[in-house]
Amino acid sequence: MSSITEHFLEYFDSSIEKLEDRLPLGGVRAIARKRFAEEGFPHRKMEKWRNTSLRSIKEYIRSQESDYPKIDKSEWPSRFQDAPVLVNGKMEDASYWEEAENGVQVGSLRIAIQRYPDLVKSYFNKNNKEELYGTFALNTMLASDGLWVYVPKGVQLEEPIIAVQYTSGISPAVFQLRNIFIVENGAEAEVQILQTSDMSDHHFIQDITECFVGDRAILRRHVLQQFQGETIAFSTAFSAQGAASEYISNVCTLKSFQTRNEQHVLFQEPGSVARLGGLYISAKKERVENQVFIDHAVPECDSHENFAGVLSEDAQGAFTGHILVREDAQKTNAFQASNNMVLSDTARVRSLPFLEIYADDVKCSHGATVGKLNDEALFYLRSRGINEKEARNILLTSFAAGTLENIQDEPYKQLLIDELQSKLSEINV
Amino acid sequence: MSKQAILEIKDLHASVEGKEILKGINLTIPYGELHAIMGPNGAGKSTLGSVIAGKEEFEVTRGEVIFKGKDILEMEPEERALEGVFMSFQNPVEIPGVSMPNFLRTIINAHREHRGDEPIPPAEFLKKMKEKSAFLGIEQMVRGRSVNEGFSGGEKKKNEMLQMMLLEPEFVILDELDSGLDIDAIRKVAEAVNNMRDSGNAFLAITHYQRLLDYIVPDVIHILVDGKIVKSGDKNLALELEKEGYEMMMG
Repeated sequence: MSSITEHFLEYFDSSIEKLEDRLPLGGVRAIARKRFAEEGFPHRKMEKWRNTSLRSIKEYIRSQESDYPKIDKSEWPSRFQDAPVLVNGKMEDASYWEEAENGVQVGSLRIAIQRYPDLVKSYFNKNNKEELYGTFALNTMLASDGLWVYVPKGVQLEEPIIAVQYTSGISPAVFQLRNIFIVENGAEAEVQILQTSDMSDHHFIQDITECFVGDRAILRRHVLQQFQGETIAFSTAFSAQGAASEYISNVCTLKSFQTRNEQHVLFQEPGSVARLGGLYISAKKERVENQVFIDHAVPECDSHENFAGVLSEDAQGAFTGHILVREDAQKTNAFQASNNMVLSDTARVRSLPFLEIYADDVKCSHGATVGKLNDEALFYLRSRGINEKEARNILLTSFAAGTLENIQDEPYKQLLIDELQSKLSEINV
Repeated sequence: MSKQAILEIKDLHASVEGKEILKGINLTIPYGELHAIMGPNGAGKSTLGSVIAGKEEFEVTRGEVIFKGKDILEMEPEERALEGVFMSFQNPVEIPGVSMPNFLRTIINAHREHRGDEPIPPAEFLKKMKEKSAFLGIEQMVRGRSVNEGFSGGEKKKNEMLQMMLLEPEFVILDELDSGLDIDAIRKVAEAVNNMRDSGNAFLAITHYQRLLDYIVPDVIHILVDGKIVKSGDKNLALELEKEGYEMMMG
């Protein structure tokens, strides 16, 4: 057993009462502990963990607390400044709960368990794949809070639900968040999350979001990651879709220390679509990794993956796109694109498509590119009077913005374009 | 009294990857004139255009390019553009994700800023873009697409003309303007050029065939063979060439 695994088990055994006191999950934690003990914390010899640096995680294990100063929201994009904040694994406003007449619930997972224990129980951990990696079991063991979104049958939300996940504080700590988004049959919702940290930060945060998308339902889940500190962030979304449903997800990583994003899509009924977009713009020693697993378990579903990276200086990026088309999943359409722009000799990117197809009536395509800026296009723009820096910015912006196509909310898309341009202007000197 | 020169090229030598392409070009173009450069494939015609526009892959080993009294060889391509040099590309590149209106507004404003003017008011920009693109018959393309993306060969050339009309440069290089164009398209782009010709500007038309020169009548024709101008003359030189072929010049 690796020492990281041992450390976590020891920590868990000594804090189980406190954990249950904080977020009562009952026997689920003990089952997760068993799985974690079996699975262990992942290591780099595992195929899908080869690009993830795990060296420094041990030092974060000691605590789930880190004292933090008053939250300075002034640097956050304005739409997130008034949103509920999950700070260091707990809802800042411990009693945060909104419940509308139409039955929509948005609030702290902790409050949801108090108010609707049976409802929460019927969803909690149903999409999480604890058996896959120890990290997923670890999240159940140590979960302290999360965002609960429940949109009942037929309710279509017009405004996005907005929240922030934030870490702060100078002592090393580990935080485990569990978000649950339920969009019942015929319902529609969009959730926009800012994941961020402050400069003092020195933490390991893992969030797992379980998404339940009912028949003919639409869920849009968009994440903007801007980690300012030394944050090791693992962010995973599991979605399970009913018939003729849509799951749309966009994850933009514009600042990170070490980030590993995973998206697991499961088609449970025919006629559904998943559109996943991902963008990472990295410089200095930033490390960003995206893992996608799409399970075409039933016929007639479409998946679209559009990922892009811009890497400069000593940044490292990785994309692994695993598409599984099971034997019965006829008339599957699965498209995957991973395009990367590498701007320095020392930046690295690995792009790995992984197609496993057992059905025969299937349209599947994947493309991975790693390249530099197009010199012809650069010269064309400059020959029209645009200076080199701006020309590079125009080309990089258009390249990056291609991944934002699955975002419908125009102001949010514009916000991402503004943020990505500001990142590009920082790295593109 | 001879007219004032807008462009003077003196003993210009240029190479790419160590191979010398231009081997001592001397060429003077006065204000108000249109000169044509003709020559066989591989003679260095397009290289000459690219060197004037500032493409970095070409290394100038000797000589000068004096534009409006200043040597522009040390200038960045964008500085040359802002000084008034414009090249209509032989194969304009497609730039996905950069919308035509945004691109056109950006380049117009780059030139206005250089002159110390305010950015173009949106209404004025839209009116201008609409008017000029309608003249060229590419109104639809300009409205809804990325730069040159999905444009036919002819539409790409018309898009070059659109940019020329919007920027009103003093010196225009037309690199194989007629390549890939049908007769109607040639007439249209030629009309765009001819409408712009006046005493305050000048043109250099690079072409392999005489055909374009039926529509854009040059003041002077230069024959470029193996990196050197071997003969210069009036428009009748093109007809002579048409009859005799480049062989006679190469002897």
